[in-house]
Amino acid sequence: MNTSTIVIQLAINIVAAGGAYALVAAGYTIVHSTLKFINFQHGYMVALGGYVTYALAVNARLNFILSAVIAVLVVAASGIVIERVGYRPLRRASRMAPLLVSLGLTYVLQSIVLFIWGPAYQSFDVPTQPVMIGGAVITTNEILMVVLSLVALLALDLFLRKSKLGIAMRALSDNLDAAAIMGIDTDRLISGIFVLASGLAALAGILIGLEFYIQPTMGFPIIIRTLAAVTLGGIGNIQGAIVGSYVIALVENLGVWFFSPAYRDAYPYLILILALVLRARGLLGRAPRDRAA
Amino acid sequence: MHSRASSIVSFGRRTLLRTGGALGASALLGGAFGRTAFSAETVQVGSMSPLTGSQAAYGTFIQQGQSLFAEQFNEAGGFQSGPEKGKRLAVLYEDDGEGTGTPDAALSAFRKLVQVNGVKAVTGVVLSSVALPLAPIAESAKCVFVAIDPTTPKLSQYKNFFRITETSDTAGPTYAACVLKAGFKNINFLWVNDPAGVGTHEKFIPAYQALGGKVALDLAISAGATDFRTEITKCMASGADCNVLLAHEGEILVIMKQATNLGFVAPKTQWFTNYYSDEMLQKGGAAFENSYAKQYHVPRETEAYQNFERAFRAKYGPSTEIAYFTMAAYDALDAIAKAIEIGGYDFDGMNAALHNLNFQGVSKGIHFNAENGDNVTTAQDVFKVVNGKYVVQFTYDPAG
Repeated sequence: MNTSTIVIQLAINIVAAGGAYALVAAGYTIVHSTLKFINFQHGYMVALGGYVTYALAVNARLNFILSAVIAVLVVAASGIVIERVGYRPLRRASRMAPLLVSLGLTYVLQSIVLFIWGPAYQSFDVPTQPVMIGGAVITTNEILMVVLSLVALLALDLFLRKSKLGIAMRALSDNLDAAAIMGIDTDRLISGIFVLASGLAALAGILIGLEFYIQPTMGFPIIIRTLAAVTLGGIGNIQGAIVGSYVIALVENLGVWFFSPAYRDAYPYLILILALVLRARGLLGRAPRDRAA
Repeated sequence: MHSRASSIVSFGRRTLLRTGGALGASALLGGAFGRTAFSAETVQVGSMSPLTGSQAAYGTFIQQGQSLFAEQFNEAGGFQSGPEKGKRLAVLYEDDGEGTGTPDAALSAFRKLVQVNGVKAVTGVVLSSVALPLAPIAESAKCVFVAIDPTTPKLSQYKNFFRITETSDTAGPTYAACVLKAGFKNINFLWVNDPAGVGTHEKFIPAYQALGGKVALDLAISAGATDFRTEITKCMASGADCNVLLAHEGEILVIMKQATNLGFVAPKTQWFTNYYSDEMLQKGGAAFENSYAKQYHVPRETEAYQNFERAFRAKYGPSTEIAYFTMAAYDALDAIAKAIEIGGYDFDGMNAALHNLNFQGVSKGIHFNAENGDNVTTAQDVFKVVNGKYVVQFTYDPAG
């Protein structure tokens, strides 16, 4: 394996991982920018997306694409339930309350998955084919992962910038109370935000399941990287979350290559600490003065 | 960290629920009968294993083996000799939370068994990271402990601590010899960075090099990681002829799947894993074809094994696979029962008896080192996966 092949292979590894992280981080950011709490449960929507797909495609033997579409819809709909039952009653409570609920929900969701599917790793068994690029290998599933995450992120960006609903969601994230005074139905919009975020998380779970395996605790490492990515990119900024996700994937894979894979989980946080020391608001975060303006 | 013959999922969900229900019902019924008819005539022994969480499959295996042993033991009349003669054996199962990353649940479970239930003998525990904080507490509580699979040598210092598995002091050199005997002289060694992995790695590398092997890449991997593409890329760049894994089922499944996706499998390279599992093979499919694996040599020709297999089939059905952990757990409880018959249900008596035990178990010969309580039987079978099945290549016995 020559140097150029290694560089291409590493680039493929980074882009594929970054795409999955970005989907989760973008969904996380929409919720966080509106409700301003650390939402651990979001990582477990990723797992739920993977497991609902598994139930339909493997257990019920439905067509895989149909299963994936249904899974995204089911998990998106479960976002409404979670918001209404778990978070809406705490809208005026201190930020600690929804944070604790989100922690509790992670365990509830993990336990549900464990009860139904057990602790073992599961696979969708969707065949994949290697494609050679300059001696390096990218699989068709990885291509799908990269393309679908880019399409989903572009669609999200367009939705938030161009559609009335998206603009209202952004208004909500800027100032929840002001949006309510202006007659925006904030409850419905927040439900919509959870639908969008949960749907993106489910899609990430499906893509991860295609390339790797799904397992009940998969939500935790994902949310750990997501928190690093959104903080690095600038909290509340979707573009920042996406850039942060790719930077995290880059640092993680370079850390594995040049240092040791044993500390894979630590590299994202090392770079996060360094970045925050140098630029406290994150890579694309707005300064307080910009926000006021 | 050792091989196993099957896992929970091969049962299917319904079978799993049935098995769980049956275990739960038998535990409830056992408890009820114990209180009404046998409470004064029962010797209670604790069993700790992961019943929930990511390691819960081990707990199911351990419960299967120990509930089978207790059932057979009591049907045969309970304790046959010693001060407890005529009494029945009752096993109290506790969830030790292995896999949660902390030993807190295990410490609570142990304290409950000793302080509330008053047990003087406990069996179970798979991971070294959980056994290590438990061992000194068990020693000060004057409780004998027969563990299933923690391999760290640091446990050898506790005179009341016994284990069915070998330690990494012998596991490392044995694994090294198996890899070389299979014909691999230039390897990448990928080992999971946890107490068992660190201990076995420390002994594997010098043993392998002393036997003439070359380690092209010595790579610690993160336990529980779900993406190993860059680690595999490093292996691809090293030029070694075999990749030797020392990891758990999850990491092995992901690595083999990603290596297959990257086209980095036989005949381009070879893979050798420390984990033997029919269910893993089924799940991994073609990714495991032509790979090598090792497992403790199970003496299937012995009467002990054949009796066990018949009873296991009668209780759990013909299609349930017999996992290594089920056999090891059966042997651990058997060892405790024998120690109670010899030394009574007394710490010093059981401790002395366990140090001198020597019997043919189901999984292997059970013979604890008189000095440190470690099992001395370490023979391994080496398999190659051919057409989706493990095919024995050779048996390696370090004892010769």
